[in-house]
Amino acid sequence: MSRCLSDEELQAIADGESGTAGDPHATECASCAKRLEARRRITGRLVEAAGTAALPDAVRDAMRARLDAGGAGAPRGATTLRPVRRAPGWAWAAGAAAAAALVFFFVVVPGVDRRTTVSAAEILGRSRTALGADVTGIEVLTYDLALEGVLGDLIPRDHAGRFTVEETIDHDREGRYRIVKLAANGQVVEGAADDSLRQTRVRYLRADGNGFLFRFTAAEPTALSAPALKRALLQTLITLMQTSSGQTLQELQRDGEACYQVEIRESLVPAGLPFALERARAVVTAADSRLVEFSAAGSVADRPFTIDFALRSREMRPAASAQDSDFDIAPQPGDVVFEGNVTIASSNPIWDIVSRSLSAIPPAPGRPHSR
Amino acid sequence: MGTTGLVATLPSSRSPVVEVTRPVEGIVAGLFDGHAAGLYRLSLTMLHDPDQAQDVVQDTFLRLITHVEAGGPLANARGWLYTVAAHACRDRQRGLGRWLPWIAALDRRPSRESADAADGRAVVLRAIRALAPRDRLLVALRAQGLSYQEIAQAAGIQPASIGRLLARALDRLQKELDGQVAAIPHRDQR
Repeated sequence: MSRCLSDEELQAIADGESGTAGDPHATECASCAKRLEARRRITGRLVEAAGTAALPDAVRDAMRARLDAGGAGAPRGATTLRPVRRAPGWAWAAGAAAAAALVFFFVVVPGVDRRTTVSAAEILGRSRTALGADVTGIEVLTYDLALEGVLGDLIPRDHAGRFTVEETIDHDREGRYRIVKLAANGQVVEGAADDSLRQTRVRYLRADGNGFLFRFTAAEPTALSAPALKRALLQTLITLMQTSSGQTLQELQRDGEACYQVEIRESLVPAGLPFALERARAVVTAADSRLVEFSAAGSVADRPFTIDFALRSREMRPAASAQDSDFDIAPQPGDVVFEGNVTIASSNPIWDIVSRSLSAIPPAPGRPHSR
Repeated sequence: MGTTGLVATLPSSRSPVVEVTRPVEGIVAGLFDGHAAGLYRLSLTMLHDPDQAQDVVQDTFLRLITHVEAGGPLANARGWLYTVAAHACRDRQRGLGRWLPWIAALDRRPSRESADAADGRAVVLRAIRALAPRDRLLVALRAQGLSYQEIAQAAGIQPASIGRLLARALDRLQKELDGQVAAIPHRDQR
């Protein structure tokens, strides 16, 4: 009788990889036949456990949908971007070897502990962190903003729709900012400016073609500034995006700057929450994770909303360059100006406007005054 | 989506290589129908996370689209797909940072009183989960019916070594299964 077979040889027979019908020894030798049977048994259990389950229809459909959405002509992406490795041709072998050496010493070695992959959730997390990061100096942002639905209802109907916003923030002094809405000709049509350094609070609005400027002194810092509100809203929406599955991620160039785009087409936020996100898209700079574009549609308490934000420009200036006018709003010709100290101690600027407006109304002698 | 040339290898009784031109959608759709389930099972076995497994399959087919659109060779589409998916699984495993093997003594999930086929599969899957990453990859690829040559390509191992490594991996799988059986307290002892 020939020699007994090794485990490797028996496994090859069990796997149909022995090249022939199998070694006859495996059937002639009782010991080898038993070992072969044991190998077939464990292989069969393996295949049955890990190799036969059908793909659930829902999973198949979801993956097909994601692939269809990622077809040519449409934005394509996966939840994770990894560098695509392309094998160089032989003709390029020498050059590639030299380039590889350079890359190894100048890129791989310095970045040996860097991650080579980045996920959509990770990018969103970085973006959310960047929104709340400690920054120093004066930051001037110009962006387009459109609010519709329940978010648009929070502002006067005349001011809803798409508009351009200029936002100036003193990051070294809390409560010092200016945020104004600009018309196409650059005219301020609405705005707020708080200066915690000078204790001034300015609000500007236009109604019925008239401009009204409220300027208060001896004002307390507002409890929550407009930039802080905007930041909190964006952070909330990004967090909702993070919790959604089905994120797609792609790289793109925006104004010559490398960016990541994260998109969700359906949110899996559990039902019953007052805040739901149906679709969202965020564009984040690759270099410093700044959010440069964001659009979303969803609902708040079952009332739909959409938000569309696109950064036009960002400028950082040293803190020493700050001027009082950076955090003030100048009246325009013909505007009605209300000025004075705050009359009700409150960090809510609405009380300033209400009280100052009311005090400007002359009292009617003898009977209630109505207009 | 455009069209591209595809090199297909046919049985030796016919011309060994033919040039066919099909829309990329058709190529990808055909390969998706044929291999998505296997790739998903492989990824699920490797990663134990349905979402991550879906991502791996999606990534694999997106790479396929790019590959085909660029006119890349695809003589062995199945081998190519499993190679890409295996690499993707390994990338994701590295990203996990720390691999926690399944330990029977720490598993507090309630089990059913009677064993059935699903239980048997779950036991084997848990045993696979306890294997070292390379063993897990080899057995997961074998479970999808890949040839030794294809397993070697996907795992980045010399083809001549596959039989030996796979045999050892299956031995370790058997030991894990034996260990799990031994770890289950006998009904009379409970």
